[in-house]
Amino acid sequence: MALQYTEDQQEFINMVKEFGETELKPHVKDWDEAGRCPEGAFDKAFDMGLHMLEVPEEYGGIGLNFETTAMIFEELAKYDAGYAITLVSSFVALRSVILRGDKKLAKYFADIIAPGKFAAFSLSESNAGSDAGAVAATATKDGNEYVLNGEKTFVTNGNLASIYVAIFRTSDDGNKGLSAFLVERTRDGITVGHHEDKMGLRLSDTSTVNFDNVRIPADNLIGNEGDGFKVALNSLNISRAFVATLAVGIMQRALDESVKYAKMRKQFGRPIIKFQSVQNMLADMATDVEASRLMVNNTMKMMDNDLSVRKEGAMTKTFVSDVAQDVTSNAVQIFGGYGVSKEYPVEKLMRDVKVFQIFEGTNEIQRMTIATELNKEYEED
Amino acid sequence: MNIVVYIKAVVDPDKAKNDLDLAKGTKEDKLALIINPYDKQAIEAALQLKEKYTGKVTAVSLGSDLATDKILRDALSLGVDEGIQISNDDFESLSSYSPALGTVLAKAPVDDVDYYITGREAGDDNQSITGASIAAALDVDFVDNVDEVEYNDDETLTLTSRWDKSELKGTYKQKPLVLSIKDTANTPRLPSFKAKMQAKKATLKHFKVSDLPDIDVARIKAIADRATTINLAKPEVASKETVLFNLNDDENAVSELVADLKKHSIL
Repeated sequence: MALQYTEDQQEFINMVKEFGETELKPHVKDWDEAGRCPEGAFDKAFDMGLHMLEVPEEYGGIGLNFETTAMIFEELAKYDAGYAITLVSSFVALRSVILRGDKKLAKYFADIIAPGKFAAFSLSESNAGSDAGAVAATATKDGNEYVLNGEKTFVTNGNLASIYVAIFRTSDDGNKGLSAFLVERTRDGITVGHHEDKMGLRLSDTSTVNFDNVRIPADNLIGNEGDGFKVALNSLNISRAFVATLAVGIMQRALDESVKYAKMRKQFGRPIIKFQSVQNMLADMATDVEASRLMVNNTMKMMDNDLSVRKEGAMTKTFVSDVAQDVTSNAVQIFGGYGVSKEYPVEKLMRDVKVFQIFEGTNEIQRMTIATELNKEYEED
Repeated sequence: MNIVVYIKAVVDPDKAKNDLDLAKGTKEDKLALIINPYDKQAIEAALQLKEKYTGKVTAVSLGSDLATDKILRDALSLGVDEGIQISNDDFESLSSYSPALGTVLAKAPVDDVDYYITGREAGDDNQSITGASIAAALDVDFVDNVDEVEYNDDETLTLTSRWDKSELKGTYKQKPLVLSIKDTANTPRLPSFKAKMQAKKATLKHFKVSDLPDIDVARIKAIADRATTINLAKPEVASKETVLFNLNDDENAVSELVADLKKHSIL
């Protein structure tokens, strides 16, 4: 492949491969059917430190850069992207706090998840998805506390998290009226509601979280009142790049399975990889995987250099999640009738990959972001 | 408690199958080198001993500097405390077929050792000479083929070795003792990323064969020279395609398939 890995990066990838082979591969089919991971399924991932890879060492993390972390998570996603996103969501939530510059709050957060706990980022509500400005859940100042009320939907890790980064409204001033808070799961008034029974990414928990007069210290405010939208954008910029990484992992798996199958499956007396129509599909799939991986790598390097990825992150997430639909669909096509059977691995990849066009900002919203940034760039000329 | 675990570098079978130079050792690729899978069980047994009784685990590896550096750091990332490289760069005739191997390994300078542990066999050449030859060189007792280790409160070990139709179970008080561990004995742990990064910075002890204390190089060479590897080749895989299914007689197809698989000792 075009991307060159350092010796360290290759060793880290090999570590995750061994983890995937021993700890995930034997269980993924059952867990996918069950629609959730059993208790203890993440214990060894925590022992390895997979939830703290990108977290700086001063917060007890491993301190890897975004680029290397992404390579590791691409490998993990080959085994199961839902499992991988459960870990990614934790450190992305923490990163959104670190980026606001409150070291004490970030350390407090990191100390909670470091021993082996999950975090979640919650923005969406039943009427506020792509339109973040429609957030209705409120935070009302009461002395040295805030009182939180409202319902957050589609919260990744909603039922697993020990701590949430949650966006609430502190004033009626549109996006400027949003504020971000750290909310410990142990606070009175938090209940986890509906668990989404999803078509894909079924190893990832997606739940509704209700906040009913939840009191938190005013110190749990991340940044200042009104910073909520910036916190959300920072978090989404990082998470978009990482979900694109996971989609590359799914695509690579689809390609691997398809080539192996096409070499083995015989029709008309020869392996189907000898047929030009299959060759064309495989060639397009391989090209899409390469292009996607390079786009992700470029975005990660930009983030490592503290550059804004507002446009590039949106482009990467959109391009990768769009071509991933074709790649996984072609994998099913190459497998023929077996492709739609749950006895074979590729139907799951197709189910898993659909949501990548939807979450972390739909691709329609991403295109608006890209166009807005283009408009700004050309105004400057 | 001091525990020594002997580990060997082998080429990852997935990479060796497509590259005979890697398999033969005429080409070295650091990333293709892994701890002999059987030795991972030996490391795990050593770490469990350390965790039960407290102590120190030292890993010893003989081979090229590149290979031993790679796998000793892998061992450190699993929780081994110290690594000793014995470089055979000046001693190329020392193969894993030779009892000279154990004679050299036994000279690794570690004091007051309670247990010496090896994997049951090497994953590349399937030789299982290391444990026995170390025990002979050290003149200490040897328990082979250990399937199960029970750690007793009085610091004795109850060891079980199993074969096809028999089992040997005994409690061993004597120390030092050499154990060779089977792949069924435990499930090796995975390294953490933090430990992996620390292991990269660790300092390994390094010896040439000729630098080892009390080594009789001439004698080692004489033993080693008794056998020479002439050739290493890929086995020829016999394959045969049999068409069993008679579409006009599908009622008998399953029984025909089962009978044929049994005939070829697959079932």
